[in-house]
Amino acid sequence: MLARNSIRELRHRPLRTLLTVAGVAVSTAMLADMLMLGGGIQQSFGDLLESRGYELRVSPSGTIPFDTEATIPGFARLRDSIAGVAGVERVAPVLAMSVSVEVEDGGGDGSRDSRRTLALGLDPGNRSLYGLVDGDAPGMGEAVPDSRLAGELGVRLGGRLRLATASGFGTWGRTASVRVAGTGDFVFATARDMPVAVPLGDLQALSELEDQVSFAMIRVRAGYDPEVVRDAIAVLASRVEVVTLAGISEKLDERLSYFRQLAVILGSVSLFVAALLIGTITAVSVSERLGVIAAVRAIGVARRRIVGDLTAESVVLCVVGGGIGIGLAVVVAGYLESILADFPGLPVAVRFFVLRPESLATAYGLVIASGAVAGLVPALRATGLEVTTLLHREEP
Amino acid sequence: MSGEAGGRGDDGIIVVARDVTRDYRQGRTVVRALRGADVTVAKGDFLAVTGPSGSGKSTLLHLLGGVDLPTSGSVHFLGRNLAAMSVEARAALRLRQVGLVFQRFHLLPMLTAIENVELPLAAMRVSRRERRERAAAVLERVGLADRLRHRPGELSGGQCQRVAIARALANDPAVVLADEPTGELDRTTSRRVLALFQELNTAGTALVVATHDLELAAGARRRIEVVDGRTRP
Amino acid sequence: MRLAAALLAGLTQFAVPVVAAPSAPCPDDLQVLIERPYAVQAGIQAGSMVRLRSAPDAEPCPALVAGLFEPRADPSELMTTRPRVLFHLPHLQALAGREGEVDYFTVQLRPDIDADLAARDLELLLAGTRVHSAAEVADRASTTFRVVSRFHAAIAGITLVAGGVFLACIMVLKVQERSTAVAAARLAGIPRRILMGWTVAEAALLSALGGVAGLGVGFAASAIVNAYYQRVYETTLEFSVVTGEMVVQGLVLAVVLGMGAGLVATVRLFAADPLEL
Repeated sequence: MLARNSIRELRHRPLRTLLTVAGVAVSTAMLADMLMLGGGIQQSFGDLLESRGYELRVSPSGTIPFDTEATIPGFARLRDSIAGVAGVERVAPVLAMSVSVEVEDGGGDGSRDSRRTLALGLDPGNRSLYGLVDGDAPGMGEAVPDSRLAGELGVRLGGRLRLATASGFGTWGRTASVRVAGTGDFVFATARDMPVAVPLGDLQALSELEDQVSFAMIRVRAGYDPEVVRDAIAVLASRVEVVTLAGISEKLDERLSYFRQLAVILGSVSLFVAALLIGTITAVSVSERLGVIAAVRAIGVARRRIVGDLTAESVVLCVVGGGIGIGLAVVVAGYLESILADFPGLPVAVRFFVLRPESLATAYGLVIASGAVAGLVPALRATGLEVTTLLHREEP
Repeated sequence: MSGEAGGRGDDGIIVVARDVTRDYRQGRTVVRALRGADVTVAKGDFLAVTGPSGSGKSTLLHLLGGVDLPTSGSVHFLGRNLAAMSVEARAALRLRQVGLVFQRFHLLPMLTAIENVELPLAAMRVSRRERRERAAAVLERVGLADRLRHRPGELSGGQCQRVAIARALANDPAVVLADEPTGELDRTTSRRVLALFQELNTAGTALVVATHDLELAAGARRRIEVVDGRTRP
Repeated sequence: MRLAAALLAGLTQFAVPVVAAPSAPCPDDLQVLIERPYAVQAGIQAGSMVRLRSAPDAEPCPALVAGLFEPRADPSELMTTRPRVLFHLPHLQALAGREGEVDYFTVQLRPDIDADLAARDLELLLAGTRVHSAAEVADRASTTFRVVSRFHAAIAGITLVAGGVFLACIMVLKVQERSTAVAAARLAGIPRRILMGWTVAEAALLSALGGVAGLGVGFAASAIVNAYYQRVYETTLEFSVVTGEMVVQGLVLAVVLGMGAGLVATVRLFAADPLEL
C-alpha cells in the first residue's frame, strides 16, 4: 500500500520524477560506459589475438610484436627447436619491415603515388594476420596489399607493385617487383597503416635479413597448457621472449592504463552522483511524508515494511532511470568510440568500448543497489524517530 | 504490577493505566507531561479525555495505545504489560487491537479512500479480496459507500476524518483512540463525527477520545479531565 | 656502496632494438649517455661500464657511461621505449652494422623558405624517402593528445548534462518546498516576474557557489593527477592544467546552467493558479 502510494507520488510530481530519472539515466550511462572502457580494450585486443588461433608469440627480448624493428636472427634453427617442443602444433614466422610501395605500371588510373607502409613477410598459406578480400594468398613474387592501400594506389588484381626498402637516398634502396595476387583486410592494421603481405623469403631477400624474423606465432595443440609450452620454448633461446596472448594484452593494457584509471575515477563519480541524487530526492520525499509515516507506524505497521516500501520508491527510480541509462550508454559508447577511433598506433579492429552484457548488468545492478542504499538511509532515519515525537511535530 | 492487576480482557477490561508518569527531555530541561494518571477502559466504554492544551491528553492516549511507554507506572493492555513488550510486538498489538484517529487524518494522499482503509489489513496480510470487502463494508458503515474511489484531496475534511475512522475500525479493534478528531472540522461536521462515534459505541466499539470539544465530550458516556498531568474523574 | 653500484652496472645489459647485424664488430671507445631516471633505478652512474648488444644473439660490446641525461619533457616521447640511450652516431651505426645509414635527419631551412614546398622538392630529389615539415611532424606527434582532448571534451559535455539535470532536480525540490509561500506572495500581489527572478537568481547563486567548490576540487584533482603521472612517467610534464580561461568558462557555465535549472523549476509553478497551490 505504501509502495503504491509512493509510485503514485512519483506520477503526481512528473517534473521531479522526470528529472530524477534523467539524472539517474545519465549517471548510469556514464558508469556503464566507464565499465565498458575499463576492461574493453584489453578484452577487445585479447579477442583479436585469440581470433587468429595462435596462443604464443616469440619475439626479441623487451619488445612486443610491431613495437620495434628488432629481429630474431638464425631463426631456421630456432624454428626446428620450437617445432620439437611437445604441444607445438605450428610455427608461423613473421618479418615486419617498413617499405616504400608504388604502382609499377602506373596503376589503373595512371597514378604513381608512393607511400611508406609495413610489409609483412609470411609463410605461404599463413593468413593469420589478414583475411582475403579478393584474389589469392601471395606466392613467390606476389603480394597482397591492404584493400585500402590497393584502392589508394589504384592497383588492381594482376597489377604490379614496386617495393623498396627504406634505406638509401637519391635512389631506391633494394627494390622488388611483385604481382598483386589479391587484396586483404589486415586485422592488426592501424587506421594509418595499410600493410602489404609478401612471402617471408621475398621480404628477407629484399631487406637483406636472411634467416631473420620479427616474431613468430605458435599454435599450441589442443589439451596442452599454453603456459607450460611457453616455459618449454623460453629455455631454447636466451635472447627471445615468449609471451602468451594474455601477456601481450597486459603489455598493451599497461600502455593504456590511463583509460582504465579514468574509467575507475569517472565510474565512481557517476555512481556517487546517482546515489547522491536518489538520496536527496528520497530524503526530501520522506521528510514531506513524516506525518503519514508517523501515523502508519502508530497504527502498527511494522517498521521494516515501511522502510521497504519507502526504499522501493528509490529503487523504482533507479530501475527506470538505469534502464534508460543502459540504452543511453550504448549510444554514448558509440560516440566516444568514434572519437577514440583516431587514437594512433592501435589496430582498427581494437575497440575501447566493448559492449559486454556483464558491464551493462554490473552498471545496472550497481545503480540499483546504490539507489536502494541511498533510499534506505533516509527511510531508516525517518522511521527510527520516536513516533510520539513525530506525532507531536505533525499534530498541532 | 501483575498481569492480574491489569485484567486479562476476559473481565471486560481492555486497558488499565496505573499511576503513569511521562517525562520528555527538551534540551537540558525535563518536561513532565503526566504525573500519576490512572485510567481504566472497559468494553463498550466511550471515554472522553478533556483538558487544556498541553495538559497531557495526547500523551495519555499514546500510552494507552502502546505508541509510547510511561516513565513510571504501568499500562496493561488486555492483561499484557506494555513495558515488557518490544517495539515491534507493541506495533503488532496496535495493528490488531487498537484503532487510531488523528486530528489531521494522516491519510495517504495518493491512495483512494478504500485503499487507505485497506492499509492496516494489508499490513496484517489479509487477502486482497477479503480486505477489499471489509474496507468497503466499514466505509459503508461510516456513510462513505459512494466515495470509495476518491482520494483524500477530493474529499471534504469531514469525509477525510470518516475515512480515518473507517481505517481505525477496519481491523475490528478492541478500542479506538481518537486524538482531537474534530480539531480541524467545523461545528456541523463535528456533530456528524460525534454521531458516528455514538453509533459505533452503541454497536459495541470502545472509544477513548481526547478533545477540547465540550459538545463531543458531553456526548461520551464517561469523562475524565487531565489537568497538569493528573487525571480527575 | 660505489663498488656495489659498479658491479650492478657491470651486470646491466641492453639490447639495442635495431635491425640486427650479428657479425658487426664492437666500435672502439664506445661511450653512451643513459637517461637519468633509469640509471638511478639501475644503480648506473657516470663512469660505469655497461654491455650493449645490437641483437638478442649478438656479441655484447662494452661501453662507458659517459654521463646521464635528463629526458626532455616531451609529450610525444612519453610512450616510447624506455630507457633511452644516446650514442655518437658512428658508434651506433657500427654497433648495428649500418654504416652510413640513418633513420632520419633534420634540415634547417633559411628563414625565407616555405617548409612545405621545400619538403615536396626534397622528396622528389630524394626518391624513396618521405620528407615532412616540422609542423607536420609535430601534428603527427600530438595526435594522441588531440584525440584524448576530444575525448575529454566529450566526457565534460556528458558531465555537464548530468550536472544540469542534478541542479534542475534540486531547484524543483526547493521550489516545490515553498510553493505555499509563492502562492501567498502571488495572492499578495507580488508580480510573477519578480518572484521568478528571485528563484532564478537563487539558482544561479547556488550553482555559482557549487562552481567555486567544484573549481577547488578541480585544482586539487589537477595537483593529484600531475603528481601521479609525473611519478609514473618520470617527467616534469604538466598533465593537467587549470587555466584562467577554464575557471571563467566553468563559472559562466555553472551560472548559466543554474539559471536554466531555476527557470525549468519555476515555469510550472508560476503557470499554476495560486489558489490551487
